[in-house]
Amino acid sequence: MAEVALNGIGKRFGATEVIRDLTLSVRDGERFALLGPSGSGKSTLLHLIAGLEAPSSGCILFDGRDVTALQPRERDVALVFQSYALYPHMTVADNLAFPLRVAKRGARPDRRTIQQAVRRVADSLGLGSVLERRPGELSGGQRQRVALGRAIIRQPAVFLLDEPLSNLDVQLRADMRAELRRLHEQLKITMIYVTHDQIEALTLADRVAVLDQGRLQQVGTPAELYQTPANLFVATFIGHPAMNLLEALLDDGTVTSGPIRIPLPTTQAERLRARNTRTVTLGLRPEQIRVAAWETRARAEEDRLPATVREIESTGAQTWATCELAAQNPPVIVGLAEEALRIKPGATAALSFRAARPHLFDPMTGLRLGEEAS
Amino acid sequence: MTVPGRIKRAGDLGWRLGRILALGLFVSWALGPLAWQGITSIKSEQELVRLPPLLPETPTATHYRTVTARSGLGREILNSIIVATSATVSAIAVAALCAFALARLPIAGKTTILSLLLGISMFPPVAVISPLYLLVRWLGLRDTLAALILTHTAYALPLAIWVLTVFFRQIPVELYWAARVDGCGPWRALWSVLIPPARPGLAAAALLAFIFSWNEFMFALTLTATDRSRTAPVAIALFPSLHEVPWGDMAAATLVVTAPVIALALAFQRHLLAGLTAGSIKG
Repeated sequence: MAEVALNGIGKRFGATEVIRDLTLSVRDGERFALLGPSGSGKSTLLHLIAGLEAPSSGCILFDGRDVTALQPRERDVALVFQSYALYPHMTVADNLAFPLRVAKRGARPDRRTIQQAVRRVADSLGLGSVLERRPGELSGGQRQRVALGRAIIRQPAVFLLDEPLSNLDVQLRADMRAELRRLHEQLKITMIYVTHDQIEALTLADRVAVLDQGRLQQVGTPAELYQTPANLFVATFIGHPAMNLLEALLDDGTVTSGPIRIPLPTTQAERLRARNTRTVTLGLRPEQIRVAAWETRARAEEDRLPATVREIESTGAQTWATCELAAQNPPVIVGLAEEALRIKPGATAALSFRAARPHLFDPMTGLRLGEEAS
Repeated sequence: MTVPGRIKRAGDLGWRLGRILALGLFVSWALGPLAWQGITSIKSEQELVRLPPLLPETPTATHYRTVTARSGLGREILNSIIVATSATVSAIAVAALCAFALARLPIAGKTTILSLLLGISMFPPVAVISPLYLLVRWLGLRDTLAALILTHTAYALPLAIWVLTVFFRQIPVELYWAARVDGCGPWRALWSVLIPPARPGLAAAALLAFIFSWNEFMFALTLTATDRSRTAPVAIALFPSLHEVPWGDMAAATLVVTAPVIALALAFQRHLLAGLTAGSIKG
């Protein structure tokens, strides 16, 4: 168990800068996710923590101890690879026992202890019946479990996972997510998890770090990332369908984009008063926009705007409607359809907005406006 | 409707015949000399210099008897076995370490090193023979097996390094990383995780080194003087005396000397064809 701290980490491969001046700290026993699109440097970061690569600048601390110059074997970490990287010539039992067998002379357990450890790990992961098989004879889910078992058998201080579920089908993935959560409850090991899948990050992690192009964008709990994204990248990367971004003007406590007018809460308006320019980027999550059939709107609701429905996308529980709204830039907006059955492409719909605290961003810097990002 | 079918079938037949013909040509090209040696080795002295008959009318084992009775050949085959085995083992051991470094360790100028190796292996051996002779004499190794083992090791190395580097690179790098994270130093990772899946590569490289050393003639001729260190190919080449060339004896000896290599190749075939990393990664 360890607290992991990265201080001003940079990594270049030749002329390409993969990670730039990254500072981050993962608490002891925390489930932490590194989330980002491919090429964001998250796997490289994991290799740096494991000691497979050395950072070009900065240092890495485990519980305050500088491990930057240490070999992987001296760091007491375990890593589960996306491809599992099981040893093809060894049986499942030998794969599981390997980290114990190659331990340093003083720390190497005897034969009986190793056998017992293999038994225990195999039983807890449901691998008891395949111990004598080779990796080539296992299903994808079983290989994944062997890879997990090989990582936890040594009870490492830090448990690293590199896209561990991306090779599994959807059903198995949900099972393994639950399994990972159960393992973590049991072992209470610091767990750092790399993924490009926001669902995985948000459901599995206590805190998530969002990376883009080797830079840290935001660190926070899943709720913080969703409710107060620090910049436009986080705002659009997290949430599906993506947040609507509109060009807007700020005018005395109201934000206006074409026909859309949204009043701001007083605290937010106060904070924005000091700004020089009035142009902002308004971010509206699709679920903050309700799309209803035009005929069913109540007379009293004057704030409803007419729009033309362009596309309908149903995800089962929810139906998302892409609507075209005149005189607003961009003219297309995605909202949550009410009474899904009555809304058809081409029909006129009534839009209403339920954004008590709309997301506002600086169009130049992309940073969040009006309140401190957490 | 039947016409196109018939045409297709005729085309098939032509294709098949062509293939059989090509294969037949290739096989007779490859095995012809061996067969000729076989025929020669069982012909009597009188039939040896006549054609026809192509096949001997009365096959004889005299040549084999002469060859096995000959005092030196047993010793010379033993020399060959010692030289080829030692050269193979040391070349593979050194090449495995080099290839591992070239494939997985962070060293500068990998491409340069590899192209340099290729350049060395293309260097004609005859160009180094006289300096090599002087060097061996200066070291006091003339007419010893050690001189041949060292030379053959050096000459087998470049190809072995190339073959093994390719094999090590084909093993997913994650396997090496996993071994490092699981607690291996580079040595242990090489031994426990990279060598076992690379066995077909090791077998191929070893076979190539062994055949090279077994057949090598020029160094063996130059660096040896007596049957203390003489290898089998040199011994056979020294069969002819001033007045006669004992074709039958030479053919018999050649076959006796070739047999171990053929046996070895057949024995290693299974390893050469074995799957490389089946099941280590997904799929």
